[in-house]
Amino acid sequence: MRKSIILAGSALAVAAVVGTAGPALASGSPVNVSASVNSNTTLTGITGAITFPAGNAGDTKTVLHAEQYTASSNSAAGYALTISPSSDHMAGPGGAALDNSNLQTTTSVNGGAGTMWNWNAENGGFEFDRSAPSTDTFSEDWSLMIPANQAAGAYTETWTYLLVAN
Amino acid sequence: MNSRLLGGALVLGSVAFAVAGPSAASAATHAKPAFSLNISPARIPAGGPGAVRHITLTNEGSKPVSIHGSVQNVVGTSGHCALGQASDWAKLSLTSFVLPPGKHREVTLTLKRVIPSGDSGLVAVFSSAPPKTAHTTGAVVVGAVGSQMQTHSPGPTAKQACSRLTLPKASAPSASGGLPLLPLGLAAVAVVLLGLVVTLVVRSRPRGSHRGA
Repeated sequence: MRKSIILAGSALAVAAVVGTAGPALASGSPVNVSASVNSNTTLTGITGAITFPAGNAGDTKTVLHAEQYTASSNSAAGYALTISPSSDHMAGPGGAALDNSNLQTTTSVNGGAGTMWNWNAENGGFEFDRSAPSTDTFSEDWSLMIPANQAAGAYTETWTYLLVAN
Repeated sequence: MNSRLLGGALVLGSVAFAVAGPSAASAATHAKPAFSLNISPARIPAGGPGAVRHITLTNEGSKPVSIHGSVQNVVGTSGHCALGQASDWAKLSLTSFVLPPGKHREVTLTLKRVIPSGDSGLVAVFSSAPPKTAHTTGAVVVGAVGSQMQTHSPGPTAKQACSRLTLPKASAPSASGGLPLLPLGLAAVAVVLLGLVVTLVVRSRPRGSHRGA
């Protein structure tokens, strides 16, 4: 009888201990975990200048890997990379113009096959789109075909590489 | 003769100035690239008249960058969206500053009390300053990052709102290569019909006949 009482008491004690410690483990109370990821857009590696070697009229001059850069955005809707010339021509001496249609770019994305792009008025600017967060590496070869009778001198034009999240 | 050749030669060399060192990007090293510009947030939270938003620019490159900031309206025309004129209803607290390597700068974008009615869009653009070198030759390349913002004001939308920034692509290369599908389909039908006619003619000829008999 006495043993029974002791056993029952012990069992109750154990139950009480388990009862106090148990609910958190047994019932699986939900714990909210929250996190916040900042959104960013980054353009890396633009060199600032592309220099074609001097050439004669009729020559085609190419600069391999003229620009190698990385576009990155963790925007849920991806990004748009646009490359726009400031004009439709490169400006030369005494008002001479070298039309953009003489320029050609071959762009490779992430080491893939290159896509050719003619800088004519119809094409306008170059555009590359992503519709999800992405980091992409671009490599560009630039070619210039010097037209016959092109006036001698130095020619220049500004090109803007703009990266905007969608 | 040589002098004539030289005289006729185009001088397209020796470009000066770079936003960053000209060879840094091509160097396959673990060194930081000379130019790396980060903007956050990627997309500015939408807002209405009087809204104030903060944008952070960070120079993650190894060279200082002279930055020019502007706000441009996003306009929609015939199937594409593009950056339009400078916005006259939004302004930046800073439009010109130098960002040393590893540093960041917060810029505040404020919408005026009166903005276009309905839905509109703008982009805060921050570009590296163009070269100030007088005799620069070749292509000067400017890196820029931007962050879009949609705005809303009571009233009808005056212009087409754009959610994505795109440019016109009149003759962009496409996966299909732009092949004319209708002519190809008609040609295929013609080939099949011709085959049927030939088969019928051959079958209708009497068997066992010999030419030249």
